[in-house]
Amino acid sequence: MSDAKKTQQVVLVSGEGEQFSVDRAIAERSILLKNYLNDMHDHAASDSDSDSDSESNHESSTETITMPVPNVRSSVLGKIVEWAEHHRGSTFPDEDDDDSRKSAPVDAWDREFLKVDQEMLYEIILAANYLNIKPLLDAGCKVVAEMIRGRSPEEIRRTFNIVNDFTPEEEAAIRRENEWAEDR
Amino acid sequence: MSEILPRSDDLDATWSFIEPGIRQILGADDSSSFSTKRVSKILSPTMYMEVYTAIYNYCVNKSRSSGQLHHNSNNHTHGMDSSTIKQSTNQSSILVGSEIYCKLNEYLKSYITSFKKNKDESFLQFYVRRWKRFTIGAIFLNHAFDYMNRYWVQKERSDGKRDIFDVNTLCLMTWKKVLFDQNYELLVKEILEQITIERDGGIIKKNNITTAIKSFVALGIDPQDLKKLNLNVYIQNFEKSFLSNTRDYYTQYSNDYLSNHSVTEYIFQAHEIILKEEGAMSMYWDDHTRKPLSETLNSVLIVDHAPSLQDEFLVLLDSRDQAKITALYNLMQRDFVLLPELASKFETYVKKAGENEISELLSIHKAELLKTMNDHSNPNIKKQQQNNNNHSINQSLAPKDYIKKLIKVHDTFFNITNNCFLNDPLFTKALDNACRAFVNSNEFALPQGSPRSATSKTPEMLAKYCDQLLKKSTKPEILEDMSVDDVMMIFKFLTDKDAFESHYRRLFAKRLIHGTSTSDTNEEMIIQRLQNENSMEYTGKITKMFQDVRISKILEEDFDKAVKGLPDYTRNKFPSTQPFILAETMWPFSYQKVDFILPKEIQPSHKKLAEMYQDKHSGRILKWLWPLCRAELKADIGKPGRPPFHFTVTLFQMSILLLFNDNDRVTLSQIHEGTGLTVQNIAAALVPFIKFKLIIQNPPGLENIIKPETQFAIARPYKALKTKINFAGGIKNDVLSILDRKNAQNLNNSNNNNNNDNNNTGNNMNSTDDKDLTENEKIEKELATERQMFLEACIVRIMKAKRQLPHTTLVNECMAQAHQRFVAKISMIKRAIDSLIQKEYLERCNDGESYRYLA
Repeated sequence: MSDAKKTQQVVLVSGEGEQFSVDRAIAERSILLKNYLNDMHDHAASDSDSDSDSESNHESSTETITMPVPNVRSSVLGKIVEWAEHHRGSTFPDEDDDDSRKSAPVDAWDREFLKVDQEMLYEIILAANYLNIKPLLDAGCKVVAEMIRGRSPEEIRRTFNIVNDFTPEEEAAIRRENEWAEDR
Repeated sequence: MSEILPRSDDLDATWSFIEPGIRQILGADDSSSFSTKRVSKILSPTMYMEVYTAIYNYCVNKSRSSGQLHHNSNNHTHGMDSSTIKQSTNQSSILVGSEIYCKLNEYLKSYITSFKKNKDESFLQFYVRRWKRFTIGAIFLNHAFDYMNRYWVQKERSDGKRDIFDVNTLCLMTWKKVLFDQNYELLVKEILEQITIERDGGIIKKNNITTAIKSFVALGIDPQDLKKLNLNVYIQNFEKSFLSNTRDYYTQYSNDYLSNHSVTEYIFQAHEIILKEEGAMSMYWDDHTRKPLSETLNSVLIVDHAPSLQDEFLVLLDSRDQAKITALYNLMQRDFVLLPELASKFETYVKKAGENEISELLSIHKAELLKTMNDHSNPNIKKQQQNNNNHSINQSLAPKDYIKKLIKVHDTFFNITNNCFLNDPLFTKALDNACRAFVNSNEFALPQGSPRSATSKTPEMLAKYCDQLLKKSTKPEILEDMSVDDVMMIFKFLTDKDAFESHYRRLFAKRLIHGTSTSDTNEEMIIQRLQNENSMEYTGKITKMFQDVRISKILEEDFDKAVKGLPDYTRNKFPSTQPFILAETMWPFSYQKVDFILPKEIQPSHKKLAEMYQDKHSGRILKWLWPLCRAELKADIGKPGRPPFHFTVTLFQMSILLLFNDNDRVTLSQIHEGTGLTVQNIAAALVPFIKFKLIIQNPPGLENIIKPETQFAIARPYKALKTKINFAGGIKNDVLSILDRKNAQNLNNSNNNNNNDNNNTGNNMNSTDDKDLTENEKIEKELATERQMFLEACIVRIMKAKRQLPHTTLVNECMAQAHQRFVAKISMIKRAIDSLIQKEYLERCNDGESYRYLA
C-alpha cells in the first residue's frame, strides 16, 4: 500500500480553477491535506472492520483525488508546489519543538526561493498558514523578520509602505513604553 | 467550486454553510451500517476544503491584525471589502473563534442528545455503535476545525482558559457529559453481564466489550493537560465495579467447585481460571487492571482457600506427584505471603520423612537379622540373638545402607525443590534445614532415651562409609554406587563435623599404616574436598598424617639403601622393612607400654633403624607401637611341590609363628616365655590360626587356649584354597574379653611365680577393659576435650580483641565461631568460661553480666 500511496496522484485546484497534479507525498507537505488523505482514506478505510472488500481498498489508494484549494491563486500555488517538490526528501525540525524551529537559520535555497516581490512573499506566507505548511511558514516569517531587524521605524515604514497614522504624542508614548527594547 | 463561500464576516452565513458538512462528518443519519460505506465518502475532498476554508476565512478575517498586510493582498479571490479592514485594525491582536466554537459546542450537545436506541439493541450495543462512529467523526471534525484549533483554541488555553478544548476533545467531553455520565451505570452493568456470560463459558461479542471499555479510557481527559490521558473515569466508573464483581463471582464459584470436587482438581481449575483471566480475557481491560485483578483473583481463589491448599500440599508430597506439587506451588507463589508457611510445612514434612525412612530401614534390618538367626542355628549368631538389643542392631547396620538412605531422602526432595519450586530460596533453605535435622538426629543416630549430651552416630557412619569407599576390598561390587559426592553431600549437613573428623582420622590411620587404601589419589581428593568445604584447619591433622606416611616412605628407601651397604648385609639379617614414623599428636594411636620380646629375626633391623633415625633427628623420642605392626611371612608348609603360602599377620602373631621354626609343638607357657606377650595377646593372636586350622590346639576349645599346658602344633602339610591368607584381620579382642574376665583370677594364680608377668597381665587387663568400654566413648571423651579447648581458645581470642563483653554476646560469638565444627551447647561454653576464670584469663565484672579479659 505504501508504494501505491507514494505514487498516488493528487490534483490541487487553485482559486482560479487551474489544476496542479502532484504526487501524494508532495501534497502531504500540507498538514491540512495530509489530515484528510491519511485519516479519511487509509486510516478510516482500514478501520472499517471487515466490511471493506479488497477492491475498494485498491481503488482508494490508486484513484486520483481532487482537492480544491480555493484560497490560493495559481501563481502562488505554483510556487508552493515548486517548494514542496524541492523539499521532497527534506526533513524539518520537529513540529512541536518550538525552540529548534525558531533558532534554525533559513535554508539557503529557501532564501533564494523567497527573493520575490513583497506581495508574492506575503501571499506565500498566507498560503503556508492556510495549508498548514510549517517549514515554509517559518521560512517566510523569518525572511520578513530580517527585513525589520535593525531598522528605524522610518525605514520600516518605507519598506512596507506604511502610512504613519500616529500623532506625535502617541508616538512618544509608545517610544517610552518600549524604551527597554531600544538597542543602545 | 460547487458552492459559493459565505461572506467571511457573517457568522450565521458561515455556520449555515458549514453545518451540513458537520452533520455529514458526524453521521447524521442513524444508520448502524456506516462502516460498510467507504469512509472517504462521508465527506468529499471538496466539502472538506470548503468547510475548512469557510472557518479559516471567518477566523482570519476577524483576526486580521495588519491592515497593510491585507492591503497588499486585497485582490484575493475571496475578496474582502474595506469595511472589514477598518474593523479589524482596531482589534489588532484579538483572535477570533469563540462564536463559532460556541455554536459547535451547542450543536454537539443537541446532536448527541438526539441519539436514540433501537428497540432491538441493548444499551451496550447502542453505545458501542454510536461511539465507534462518533470517535471517527470527532477526529474528522478536528481536522476541519484545524485552523481554529491552531490559533484560537491554543491562545485561549495558553491564556489559562481550561474549559476550552480542541475540537476532538470537545467532542469527547460533550459525549461524556451528555451521554456517558447519565448512563454509565447501565453500561457497566451490561458489560459485567457480558463478562459473566463469558466466564460461565458462553460466547459473547468481544468487540463490543473491548470498544466500550476503551471508551472509559478515552474519556479520561485531564482539562489541565490534554496530552495526558488519565484513568480516572476508567478506574472510578468501571474498574471498581469490575473488581468487586470478579470477587463475588469467583468467591461463589470456588466455593461451589470445592463442594463437589477434590482440592487437587481445584488447583488445576484455579490455574485455568487465572490463565484465562490474565490471558485471553486481559485484552478487555486496560493494563492498569492487571495488578488489582491479579490481587483479587489471588485473594479469592488462593488466599481464601489457603488452609485446604496447605493440607493438600502434604497429601501431594506423600504422593511425590511432581506435576501436582508444581501446580500447587505455582498457585501459592502468586501470593508471596503464603510461601513462608508452605516452606515451613515442607521443612517439617521432609524432616519427618527422613526420620521415618531411617526408622523403616532399622526395622527392616531388624527383621532380616531375626530371619537369618532363625534360618541358621549358628552358635555365633545365637549369641548375638541373646544380646539382641538395639545396640547390636546398630552395630550391624551397614554404613552404606544408612548413608544411601539419607541421600535418597535428600535427593527425592532436592528434585522436588528443583523441579517443583524452581529452587525458590525459601524452599532450598527449608530443605537444608530439614536435611540437617534428620541427618543428625533420627532413630539410629540418636536412639530414643539417649542422653542429651550424646553425639549423633551419623558422623561415625559417614566416616565408615568413607572407609569402605577408600579401602581395598575383596568385594569390589559393594563400591559400585558409592561416591565422594555422597560423602560431601552428607558432610555438608553434619552438625558435629569434629566428630566426623575424629572418626575419619581413626579409620584413615588404619588405612595408611596397613596400606589398605585403594589409592593415594583418592585419599587426597577426598581430603581436598573436605578442606574446600570446611577449612585448612579442619583437615590439618589428616594432611599431616598423610605427610608422615610420605616421609616414612623416604625413610624406608634410605634405610633399605643403608642396610644394603652394610658389610654384613644379608636379606635374612635385614628382611625388608617398612617403617612408619608418626607424629604422636596427629595420629589417633595412643602409646601403651606392651610387654613383648622382639623376635631375634628382626632385631638387627630394629636396632639399625632406631640408630639411623636418632642420628638424623637427635632429640626425637621414638616409641614403638608394637601392637600395630604387621608382617608378611612366607611359609613353605604346604604339600611338597606346592608353592609356599604367604601369610599376613600381626607382629605378635609373627613372633608366635617364628617359635615353630625351632619346635613343632609348643605350650602356652612356652609361647609366653618366647614372646614375652601376655596371655590375653597370645590368645587373641592364636584364635585366627586355630580358626583357619593352621594351628592345632590340644585340648581344643576356646576356654582351653589360656591354660598354660595347652599344646599348639602347626598343621603340616597345611591345606588351604588360597596361597595368600590374612590372619591379622581376624583378631577380635572382645571375643575373649568375657573369658578373660572369668579366668583372670586363674591366670594370675598360675603365673604367680613370675612377678613381672603378673604385673603385665594386670596392666593389659586394664587396658583391654579400657578399650572395651570405649572405642566410641574414647572418641567422645576426646571430642569433649577438643571442644573444650576449642571454645577456650575461641573465648580468649574474642576477649583479647574486645576486652570486655556481656555474657550473651560472648556466648553468641562463640557459637558462631564453632558453627563450622560442631554445635556449641551453652553449658559447654559456660564450662569453658568458668575454666578460663579459674585460670585467670577472665574475671567477672561488677555489673554481674560481663567478663573482662586479663592480660
